[in-house]
Amino acid sequence: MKLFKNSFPFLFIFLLCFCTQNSYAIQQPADSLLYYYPIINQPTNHTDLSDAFTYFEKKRKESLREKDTLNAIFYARYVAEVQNKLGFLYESEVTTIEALKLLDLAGGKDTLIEPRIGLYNHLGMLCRQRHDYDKALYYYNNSLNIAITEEHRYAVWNNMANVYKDQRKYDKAIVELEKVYGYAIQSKNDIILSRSLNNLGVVQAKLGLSEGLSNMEKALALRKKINYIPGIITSYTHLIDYYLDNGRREKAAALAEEARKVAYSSNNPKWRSHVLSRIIDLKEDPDVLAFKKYTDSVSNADLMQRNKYISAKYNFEAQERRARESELQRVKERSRRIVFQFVLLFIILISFLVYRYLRIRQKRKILQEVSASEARISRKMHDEIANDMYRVMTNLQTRHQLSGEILDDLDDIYSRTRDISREIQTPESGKDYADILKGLLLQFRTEKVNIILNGLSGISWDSVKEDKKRMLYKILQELMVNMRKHSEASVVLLQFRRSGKNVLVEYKDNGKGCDLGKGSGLTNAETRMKLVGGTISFVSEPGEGFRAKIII
Amino acid sequence: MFSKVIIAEDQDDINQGVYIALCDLGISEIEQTQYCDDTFVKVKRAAMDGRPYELLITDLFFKEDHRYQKYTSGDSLANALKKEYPDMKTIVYSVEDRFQKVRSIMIPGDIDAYVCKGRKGLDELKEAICKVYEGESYLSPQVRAAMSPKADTEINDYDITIIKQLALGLSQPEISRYMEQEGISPYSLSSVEKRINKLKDIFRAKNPAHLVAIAKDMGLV
Repeated sequence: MKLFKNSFPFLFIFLLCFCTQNSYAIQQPADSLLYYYPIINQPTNHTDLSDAFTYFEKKRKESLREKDTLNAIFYARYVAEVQNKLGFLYESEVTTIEALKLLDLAGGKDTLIEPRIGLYNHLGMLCRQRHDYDKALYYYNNSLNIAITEEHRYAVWNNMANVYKDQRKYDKAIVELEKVYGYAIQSKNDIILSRSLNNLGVVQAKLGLSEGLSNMEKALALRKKINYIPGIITSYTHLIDYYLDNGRREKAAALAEEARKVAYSSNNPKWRSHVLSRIIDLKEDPDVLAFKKYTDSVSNADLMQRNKYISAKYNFEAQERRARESELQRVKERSRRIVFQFVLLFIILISFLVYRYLRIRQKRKILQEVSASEARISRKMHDEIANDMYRVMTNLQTRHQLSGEILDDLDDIYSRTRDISREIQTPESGKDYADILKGLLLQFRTEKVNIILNGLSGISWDSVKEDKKRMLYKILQELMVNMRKHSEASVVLLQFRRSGKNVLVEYKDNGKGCDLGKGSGLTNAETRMKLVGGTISFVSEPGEGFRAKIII
Repeated sequence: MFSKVIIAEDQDDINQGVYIALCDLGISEIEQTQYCDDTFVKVKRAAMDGRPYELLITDLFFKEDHRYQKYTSGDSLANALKKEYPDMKTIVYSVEDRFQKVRSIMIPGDIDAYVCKGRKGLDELKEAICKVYEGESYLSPQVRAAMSPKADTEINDYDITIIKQLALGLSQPEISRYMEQEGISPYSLSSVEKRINKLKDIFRAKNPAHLVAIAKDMGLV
């Protein structure tokens, strides 16, 4: 079923020729199509064309909805044709160009040459109607480039010759018409042959070539032979025009009488009026001539106006479309620019962050290395040097019975060695951090100074990062060493509190304080604290004790 | 006094000092070893022979050398021996005086005494041996604070409340009543009194007024 439906338009020609019955599914649309197709060429009343338009447009939209591209193109061509017939040149062009776009999307160029040529020819015709000859020739050349059969080329050559005729470029028209004639001879179709011969003759005559008249007469003879009435009448009118142009009025009048006989015998009012119009042209009656002149000028003016209207409308619509397109382009460009700016900003931001991250990581790494080597030195000093010193001391004490003075000196060196070691020691990780801190702080408790802790046991340290804990340990140690060396405090209070994700540590002593402006050894504590994402601030005045606030 | 003692110490000179100190105390049988693993084997051997050592004196840190050691530190040796011979007493004798280390060694409760090597180290060792013999524990003075009870150093909200009330000029009975009203326990006069005395110690204050002054200085109240 689906297959039948998709290929339906192409089956149509086939159906038209043989009118055989197929399945029920295609019968109904086939009826409508068979009804509307001839209407395009021969409308019988004033609503026919608009009905046909409604029908084909509906089918086109249906096909588009169903993503049936081939059918959409098929119906678009009819829509464009009806639009052209109705005088909607611009709309017709839009429809045609949309169909062309669909064709491009459909791909498979080789198999879709016929509709493409048809669309180009239609565009060329539309351009010719609004006297845009260059564009018309452009489209016809496009057709010619993809044409594969002689039949295609024949139609295009004819079209091009018509454009040249309009432009009064008869020499160029002749070139095309000779090609058409060449094809016509091969076609062995007398109608085609006579038509091409006549067309060629008319243009040749316009250029004053002698073959012109003989070719036109040959064409008339051929048409008479096959009794092709429309052709005979056309030939007569062209010959009449020729003789009139050359001032041979009697010959023209004689031909007009011949033409009248043919036209009256045909019983076709169209031909009769055609011939009569020529006969009137030949009358010498001043009233008739005046009437003819005025009607011609009126209809010419109508035509001019219509053409002007069409081209104005076309220009307006085209301008509007260009404006819309450029607006669209502008919006697109702007959004592209915004996206670009965003991307740029994003890249800058990211690279800045990456740079910062790498820098911090580098610093942390250095910090870790420093603390690792400090720990190593501290342990070596403590475990080896201090131990050895003690060994020497014991040795001197037990074996040599030295005076207490030397031993006291040695003891002093011994304890100072250990102090240095202690100052650069780092805590062991993994153990109960609160206990480690407590051990550190209580070490500084002496007879003279008491260390008071508040809130330390209540803090859970598991969520605090290892490097932060290590840094806090070192900073507190430095504070305590500072306190012991300089403060002469009797009470030190250390308060620990949680504040959100962070731990807040406040150090206070009642010592003599110091002038922070002088720059104590604690200044680089701020930098080191920042490295692990913490802060430290000091408050002190001489005589006011010392305070530090750490957030980590 | 102990009669059979083993010393684990890799420094000859120190060994010498300890040996002399032990002799001073009248200990007759003194075994000196340089490696923890040797000590372990000897203690085991003596126990199997039915003449176990009564006391182990061990350093914490042993220099590493070419010999592979199962026990590389004094505390790992002491812990291993204590498991097998719970009756044997242990004294750690070390240069190590960092509180966190002392605490980590002493808190499990397997070690009976901790003596720091120092100017008075040998005298303290003698004292420690005597105390341990009497079933007590001993810590050198400089590390004694490491094991001080929590109450000596940590103050809590209860303490701060008391100081606040003192700062407001309340007498001790008034503070007691206040605590009772607020539902804070213990609120008895005697506990409040006891706590204030403790706080005076902690803050090194001469009297309650001094205590309040210091606490104010520290920004506690």
